Amino acid sequence: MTNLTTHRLNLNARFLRAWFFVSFRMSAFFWIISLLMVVLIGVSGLRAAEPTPKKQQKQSSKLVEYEVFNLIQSKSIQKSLTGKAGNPKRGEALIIDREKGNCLQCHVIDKFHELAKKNPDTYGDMGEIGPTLDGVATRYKDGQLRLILVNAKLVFPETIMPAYYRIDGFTRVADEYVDQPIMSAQDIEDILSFLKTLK
Amino acid sequence: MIFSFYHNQAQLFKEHLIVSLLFVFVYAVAVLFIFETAFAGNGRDKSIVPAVKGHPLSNLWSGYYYSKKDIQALQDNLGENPGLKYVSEGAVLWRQKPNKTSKSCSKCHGNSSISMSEVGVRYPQYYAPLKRLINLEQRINICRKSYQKVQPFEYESKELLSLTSFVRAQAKGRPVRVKVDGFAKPFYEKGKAFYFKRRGQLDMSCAHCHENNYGKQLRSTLLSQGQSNGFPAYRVAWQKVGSLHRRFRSCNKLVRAKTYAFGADAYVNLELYLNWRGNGLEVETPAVRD
Ligand code: HEC
Ligand code: HEC
Ligand code: HEC
Repeated sequence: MTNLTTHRLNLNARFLRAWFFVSFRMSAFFWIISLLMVVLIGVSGLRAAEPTPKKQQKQSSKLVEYEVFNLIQSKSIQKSLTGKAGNPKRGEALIIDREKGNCLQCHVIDKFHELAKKNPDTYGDMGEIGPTLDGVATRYKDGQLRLILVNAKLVFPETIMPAYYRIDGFTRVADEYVDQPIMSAQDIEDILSFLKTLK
Repeated sequence: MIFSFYHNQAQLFKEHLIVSLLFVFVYAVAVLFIFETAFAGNGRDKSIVPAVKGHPLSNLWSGYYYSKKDIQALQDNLGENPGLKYVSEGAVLWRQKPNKTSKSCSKCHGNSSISMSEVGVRYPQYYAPLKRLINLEQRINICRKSYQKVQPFEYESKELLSLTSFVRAQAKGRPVRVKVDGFAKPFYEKGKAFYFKRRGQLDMSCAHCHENNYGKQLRSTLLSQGQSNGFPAYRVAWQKVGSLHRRFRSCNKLVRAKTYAFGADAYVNLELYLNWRGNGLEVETPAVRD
């Protein structure tokens, strides 16, 4: 390029040129700003989308469960509490019963999803606080499952899961429940015999 | 020369125009974005607030958020919210003289929307004359007893629920802001200990349900964070408005634990701790819940 045009630039052109420069810089500045804002908005959009209540997970991670598993291997109740085998049919009813096991308050059993379509009052409304009970019989031996039912806190110290066969170590138990376990020994064995079918 | 590629003014002008337009466009986009974020910020669910540092929860979610759509609509609809009946009855009591010789609340306190605008966000509060923590219900009853010289209302009576709803509703939309330092500190600590204590035959603490498992289904109920910003609240299960202490009693019964009496010190301390957990959430009184 030549300097041919240079001498023809008058004041006005100089002014325009200067302004062009400034506005170009300005626009670059605003590009950066708007890019930043796009990022910001993206992030805020993500943040708005992310914490839906279903996704609010604060449960123990795999690590905790692993430790816990090691613990269980050494802890179990080998002998039946009643000396007899349990009744799985009765056990299934107790798991559903809201006053007794109420295990469905926190656990899902997969096959109940299907049954709930016909009979939602009995099988429906399963909770999602604990892990699914499907396959517990392959994850645990009988004696370990028995201990989890009797007092889950001996296996998972911080757990929300109640101790079903225990009467001491509680605080301010309501009068009508004082000195009673949530379930009887027979109930525990019946539930256990049902859990054993969940392979 | 930098500008040597411009052959003439016309071209310079053209280029300049293009860049200027670009600049105007970007500027417009930027302004739009600013407005949009500001608008989205306002329009977004006001029941979610990021928690302060050191808070056990990362975000605070009002119970409103965990309610079903029809329940939310009932709360939002000023014509249908059943809790508003209590508020308007409270407004009547506010203006009424309890008997010929004593003054009405409004006589001493004037315009409720001014004098009571901050009360709902900062109770329970330390009350020096009694050297203890008092909640709003107890504050109102102190005025009844010492200033109106009449019998205090019974806890959970329609009158006390109405007046409490009315007074707290004056702070509606304002963020909860209880103080937990100074004189309030020991009460806060006791409330905190209560919150994390396992109790009842089911042996659960408040945290087991409302801190570790909120947002999850507990059988047919979606667990919330158990926030207190909506109380006194109308509960469909109660078919009436109830105090926060009534909710405490329900939750105690859920785990088969002995309840405390309405207005018991243990519950007032717990109320302080719970309100602190919700510091920043807007007062929703009267909220509607399942
Ligand atoms: C209040 C909620 C709750 C109830 C009710 C409950 N559980 Fe649990 N359960 C849990 C949680 C949570 C875990 C996971 C352990 C932990 O806390 O880390 C668990 C763990 C278990 C496990 C071990 C599962 C695994 O894969 O590690 C078994 C088995 C079990 N529960 C059986 C039952 C049975 C049977 C009942 C009813 C009698 C029952 N639970 C009732 C919450 C509950
Ligand atoms: C077994 C689980 C469980 C325990 C333990 C529990 N709650 Fe609740 N709580 C619930 C359920 C279920 C609801 C109703 C649905 C919801 O809001 O979570 C509820 C609701 C509440 C609410 C009303 C929330 C709102 O926005 O209307 C408050 C406040 C509350 N709980 C406080 C407590 C306190 C304080 C404790 C400890 C003393 C406690 N809860 C223990 C299950 C529990
Ligand atoms: C004779 C005057 C008088 C009457 C009548 C009266 N109050 Fe008060 N009230 C006071 C005074 C004075 C205070 C503050 C002094 C104190 O802390 O004792 C107060 C404090 C309060 C507070 C706490 C305000 C704050 O900022 O912390 C509330 C809430 C309240 N009154 C409600 C009521 C209600 C509701 C009624 C009607 C049932 C009522 N008062 C009747 C004089 C009165």
